[in-house]
Amino acid sequence: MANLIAILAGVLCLFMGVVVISAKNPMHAVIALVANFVGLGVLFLLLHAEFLAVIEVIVYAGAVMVLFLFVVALLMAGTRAPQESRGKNLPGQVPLALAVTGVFAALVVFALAVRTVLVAPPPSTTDFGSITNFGRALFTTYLLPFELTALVLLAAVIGVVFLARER
Amino acid sequence: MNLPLIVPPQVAFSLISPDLALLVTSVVILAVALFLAPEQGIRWLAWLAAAGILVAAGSDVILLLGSQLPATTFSGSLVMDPLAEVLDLVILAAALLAVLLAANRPEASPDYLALTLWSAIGMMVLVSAHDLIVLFLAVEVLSLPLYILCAFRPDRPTSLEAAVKYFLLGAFSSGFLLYGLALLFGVSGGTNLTQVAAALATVGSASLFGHGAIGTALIAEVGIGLVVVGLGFKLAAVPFHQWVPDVYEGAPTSVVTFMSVGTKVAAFGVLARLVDTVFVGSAVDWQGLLSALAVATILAGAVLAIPQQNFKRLLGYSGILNAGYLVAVLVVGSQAATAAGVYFLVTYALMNLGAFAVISAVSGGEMEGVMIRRYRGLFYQQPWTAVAMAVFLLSLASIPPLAGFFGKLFILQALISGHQLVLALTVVAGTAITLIVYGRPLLAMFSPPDPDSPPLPKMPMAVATAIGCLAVAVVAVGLVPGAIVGLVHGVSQIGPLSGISGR
Repeated sequence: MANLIAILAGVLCLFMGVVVISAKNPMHAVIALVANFVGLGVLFLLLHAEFLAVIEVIVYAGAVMVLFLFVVALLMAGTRAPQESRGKNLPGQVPLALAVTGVFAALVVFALAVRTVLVAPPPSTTDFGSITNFGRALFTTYLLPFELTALVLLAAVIGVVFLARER
Repeated sequence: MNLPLIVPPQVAFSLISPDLALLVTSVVILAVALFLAPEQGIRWLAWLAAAGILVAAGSDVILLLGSQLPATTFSGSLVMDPLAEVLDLVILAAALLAVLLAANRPEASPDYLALTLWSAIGMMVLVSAHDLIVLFLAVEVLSLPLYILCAFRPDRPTSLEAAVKYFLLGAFSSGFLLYGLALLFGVSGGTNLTQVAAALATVGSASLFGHGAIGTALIAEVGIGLVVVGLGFKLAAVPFHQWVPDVYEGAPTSVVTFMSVGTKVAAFGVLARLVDTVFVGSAVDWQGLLSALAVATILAGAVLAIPQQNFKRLLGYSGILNAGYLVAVLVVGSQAATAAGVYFLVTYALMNLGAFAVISAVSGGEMEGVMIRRYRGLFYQQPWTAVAMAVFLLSLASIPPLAGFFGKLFILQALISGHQLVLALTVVAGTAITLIVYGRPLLAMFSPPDPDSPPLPKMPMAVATAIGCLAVAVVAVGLVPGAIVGLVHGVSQIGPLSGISGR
């Protein structure tokens, strides 16, 4: 059962990912990205990472994507035909992308083929990704990354203010 | 439901006092700037930033001389040892010079000062990082402010071009780095470098069709490769160097001064730590990877530097070349080799900072001022500036009594005692080629001036003092190489970190 759900969610993610980069209308691309995030959320849930699953849906599929929609809508407000907003590909971009995809697909197949000799992943208990454990890790072992993230955000805010300033 | 009590980890604030000094200074600068009219008091804020950097350097020296080191803090995710503290001092010197150079320039603003300090914090955390997540976030803390700093001359299209190029390639390299770190985490099941090292030590040899856990070995190999690619971008190693010349040309000179030294120091520091704690004990083949990177970087950097007409681009390629020497010395994988790399890095910082300071002073912020032909007859207009620049360039070309010669000598010594003869020969070849590279601007400076060249801008007192100090340091370190050998000996005693008790 869990395997079936994982396969369905994975297929949803892949399909929607392809739609994101191939959709002619940016609005469709953004909505496909929302579906992609929901699929990822399901995958996190299956890995017992409940907190990440919830965050994925609330923050990414919710808040961030609404922001994206607003930006796309505002940027397109003046243009007549959104269909024409698709940029041109770089020369050789499609064959290169296909080649890279092929390499990674071969890696995945290889990894599946030698699965028996992979060391077992660290035991993930059912409360591995629970909010309690996540919070505990965040404020004990990973306190420094937590603080550093604040510095990254601060730098980003100051940078945006500088770049957007009227001159 | 009874909530579990979270006990925050013990943090040794004295160990992170340099970082805290910079953080407090940056916040004070931003807060004070709210109450100052624009254009007013930026000089005071620059002096405030310089004072904060000096306080940070002071607490660094206190740590270095004290008996606290080596120690870890933040649950073992940050390690403070002589290696980190010495590299911190170099980073702080670069930040100080950037602040001094910017003080009289259009790019000077409270944002500029704060972003420079934050980037320095990221570099200092990176050389102390002992955890994969801290490592990645430190790379971001150092890069994000630099992307913005590159755009600090919005009146110039090249400045924006530099920022966009640096940002796109930097984001790309962050992706590689993160992918590599995720694979290493997947192999080891932990993010602390101690756990990663323990896991990689048990991974079988990386032959694809041999016995043992080949899948894990392959994943570890790919992970290490991707991490080296990600850090190679920051270090400006070939073939991840394409951004360097354009960014160096377009970004404000004060920013280039800072990033050319700071980023290199930080990337070398973290790579040296990874080599010492993780790579050396693992069965994965990392030496071949780094050797190939070093040879390509040295040869490409040296050859591409020859035709450059723009001084900043020339020093950009020279930076690539010197990154190659640093990667080469890491291949040896011994603590003595790391110490040689640190010595080289200290001397490189002195002469590179000096050269960029002269460029900044001579150009006066004009695009035309960074062309090599502008340096024709510099000796007849500003003799002392020309002499200082000659010292920096001769030292970069490793001419004997100067600091750069001993840096190169120690690297060759480490390579030969590590039986890396091919790399040693490459270093010699690279050095020979650079005689041509640095010879051209040298000749220009001492040939008679063009009669119709515009007069040079007046040099601010602080910049002149900084250039003088750097030139004297380059000569002094060359005459008395023992002066910092003792310091570097301390660095070579970075023990394997297993013996350090976590706090």
